[in-house]
Amino acid sequence: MKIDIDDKLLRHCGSCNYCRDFCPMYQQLGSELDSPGGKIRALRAYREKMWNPPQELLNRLYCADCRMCEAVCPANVPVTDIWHDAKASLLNSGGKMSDSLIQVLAWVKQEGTPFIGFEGEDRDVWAEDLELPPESNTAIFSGCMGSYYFPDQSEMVVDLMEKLKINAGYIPSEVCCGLMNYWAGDDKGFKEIAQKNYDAFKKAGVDHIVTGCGGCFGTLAEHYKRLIPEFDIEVHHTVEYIADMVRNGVLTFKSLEGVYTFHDSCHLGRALGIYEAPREIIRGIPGIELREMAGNHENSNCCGGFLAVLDPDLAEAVGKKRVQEAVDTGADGLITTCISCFKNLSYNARDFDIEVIQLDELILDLARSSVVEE
Amino acid sequence: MGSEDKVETEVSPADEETGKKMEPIPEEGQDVDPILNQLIAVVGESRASDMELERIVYSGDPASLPQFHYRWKRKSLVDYVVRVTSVEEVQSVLRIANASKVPVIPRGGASSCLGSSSPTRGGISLDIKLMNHILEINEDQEYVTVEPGVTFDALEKQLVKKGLTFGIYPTSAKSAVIGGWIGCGGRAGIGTPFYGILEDHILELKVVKPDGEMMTLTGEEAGIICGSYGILGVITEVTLKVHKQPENYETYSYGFKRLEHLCLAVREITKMAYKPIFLKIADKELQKYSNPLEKGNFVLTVTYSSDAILQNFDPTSKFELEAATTGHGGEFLGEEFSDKEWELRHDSEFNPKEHCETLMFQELWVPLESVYDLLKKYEDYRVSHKVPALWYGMLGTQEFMRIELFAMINPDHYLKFIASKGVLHKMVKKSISHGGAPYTIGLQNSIYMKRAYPIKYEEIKRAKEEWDPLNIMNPDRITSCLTSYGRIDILFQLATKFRWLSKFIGA
Repeated sequence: MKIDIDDKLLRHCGSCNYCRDFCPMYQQLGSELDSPGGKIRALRAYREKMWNPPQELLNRLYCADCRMCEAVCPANVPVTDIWHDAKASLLNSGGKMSDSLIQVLAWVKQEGTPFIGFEGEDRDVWAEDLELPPESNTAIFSGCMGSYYFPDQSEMVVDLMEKLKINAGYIPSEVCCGLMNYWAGDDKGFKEIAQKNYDAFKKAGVDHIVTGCGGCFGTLAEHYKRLIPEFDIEVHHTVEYIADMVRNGVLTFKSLEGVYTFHDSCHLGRALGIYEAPREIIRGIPGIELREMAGNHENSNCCGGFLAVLDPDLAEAVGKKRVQEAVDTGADGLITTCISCFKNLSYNARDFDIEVIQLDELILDLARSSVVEE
Repeated sequence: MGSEDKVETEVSPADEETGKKMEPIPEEGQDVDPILNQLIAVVGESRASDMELERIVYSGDPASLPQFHYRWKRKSLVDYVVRVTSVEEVQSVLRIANASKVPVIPRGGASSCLGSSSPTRGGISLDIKLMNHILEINEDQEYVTVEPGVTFDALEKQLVKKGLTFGIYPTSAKSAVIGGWIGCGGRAGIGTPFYGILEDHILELKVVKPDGEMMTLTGEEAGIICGSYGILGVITEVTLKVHKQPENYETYSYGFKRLEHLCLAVREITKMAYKPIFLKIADKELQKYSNPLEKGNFVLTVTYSSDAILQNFDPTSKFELEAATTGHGGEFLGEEFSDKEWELRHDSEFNPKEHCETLMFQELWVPLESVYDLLKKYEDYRVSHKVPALWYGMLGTQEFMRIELFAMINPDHYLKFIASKGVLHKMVKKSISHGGAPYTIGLQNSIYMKRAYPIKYEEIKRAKEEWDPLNIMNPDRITSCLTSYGRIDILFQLATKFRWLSKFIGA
């Protein structure tokens, strides 16, 4: 195996170790080998000294993808890019993914979703009765979570688009956004998926995409643009639309009494800088008190959702820590925008006295009886 | 350095151009190592390892220096990594190491520079970060007892809940731990100009000697552990004085056109009745990468806590600060700039790293009256030797300042690299001749120890001979070193001449 990546990126890390204590992997595992700074030291040593890097180095590069390390880094080291490039390089030179990851990516290739057991032909079941046009300049990208686990959210996006009088459609040939492939370092697989989705969008005449999934949003908005030079589609997350409607008084809600806290999704927050839009929406609900957790905005701690594919126990430990943080605020409920975060947080809140709420669902409930100005 | 002046280096033939010499690494999966077996018996398989990958990770510190810089080390990788969680484990590991004469390199936050926690002869990297419990917070008597791996952030979070603060912490507090800062001396930190240095806060220390015996130290005995860089034993418990939490902090930043005016302002501020929590100075080049200056070439930032504000910082005193700064040509840089300086107090020294591959530096502990002379000299070197220089200063006490001199270097340019190190060496010598010293000692500055800290050197040497006769604790620093002052001095003088010549030949 070899590490054929830009040496300069590695050298910009000053090994200050500021990232270490903020990293959920280090917090749980306790070894510098699982801290971002430690792994960069290892990559640099193997890269510069031309040693043969071990398989274990590749294994350790798979992390929560939370980007907390980038948020605290005083030298702005692009850790996520380094991990991706190093994984791709190691995989291309003989490295092996874990068996579970191989299975997941094989399922993505076969069925267009990483959720093993779910089939591609069922992806658009949620949209069957909605009579959405298969061709439109605004496409609702339901994502795998929105298609299989939480179709209510996708329906909410449809509802929202209708309220906005946007003639949004659903492109039945959409497949998984490919985030799992990108994260795994499977460049070939990711490129195939990105191109397939892009071709489908262009064929349907799409120039705007709306999604309620933070992971899909980040992948489409950030990685597709890098991979496909001609990518010219505007990508939006639903919270941007809703916040705009709340801001302009177009959307109002019935009241909800109680104290609520908000969990920033890593993909929506640190990756794409969307922090205020969901908070504006929550503050737009009469009666609600928004109380921040100790880690919020760019310092928000990860829910651990992504770790489920690596180690469910690790995902649970990280998730419970985040739920505890929410409980410590004394809030009645924990609101999040991301379905993946919702899934992991709600599972790990089962032993706590706090309700985990998906923002879109909350909005939909409260907006149904609200005054929506035409 | 007396007997330590002897050259002990056994540099094996290496590729001097590329530094790609591979250090022999025992193959994994060979016969089970008896020392590793003993270590596993103490801490379990998950916390003891001889895996090459882990040894690489635990052998580094905050210095992304090119590999040729480490050629002089005998063995730059540890042989084992052990993560301990209790005093008993520390004792057992040290007994194993002592019996086998295997070096032990205590490792805390690994945020100290200059090779403080990197090995020279292999051995055991002893990670104490998992010993991170706060054992007692006594609100009435205002003290706290902690394990050595507690981070400043974690400690502060718990103290604040009880209306207390430790009050002092290194700029690297995001990763540094209490035990590590004690080992490194803890003189120049945020808060030290107001609350006093770390040694003044230590009420009691528990230290495990290399033979496994636990010592409880107070007063002067505890003082010798401060700045001993883990060469005497392993700190396992600390009792520290704490303070009432101030309500808030106020920061004021000023831009200066002339260095001498900046230094005059610093001296006047330190003579005032109210003491700052934080006082920083920096040149325009360093500021460019963190909080860019729009007015002046140099910045002075001073932060006061509400304690100081309530006690002394009356309107007359505020006028005194204005007089000390604007009276010397300083221009107030505004609230936004000032607040950002406080926000960036942990990051500003590392911010330039984003823009260079190697941020070479030297840290000096300089009497206030000599700060101007030294910085002026470094400014001169910037021009005469084309050093890509930056600098930063932070008040440690009312008499001394930690000055950090940087050079932004591409390590592929070997001559420029070594010549810039030569210039930094000249600055250390100049500092010593002005009553100063290198600040962090670690591995690389041990050659200066006898000249810069002769009394401390003798004290630690005596303690080392008594406590660690087999020399297993963090060898080759403080009381001994791998190379000699004379050798380094000649090498760097030659290198500096080359750098000076490069001005004419454009290298």
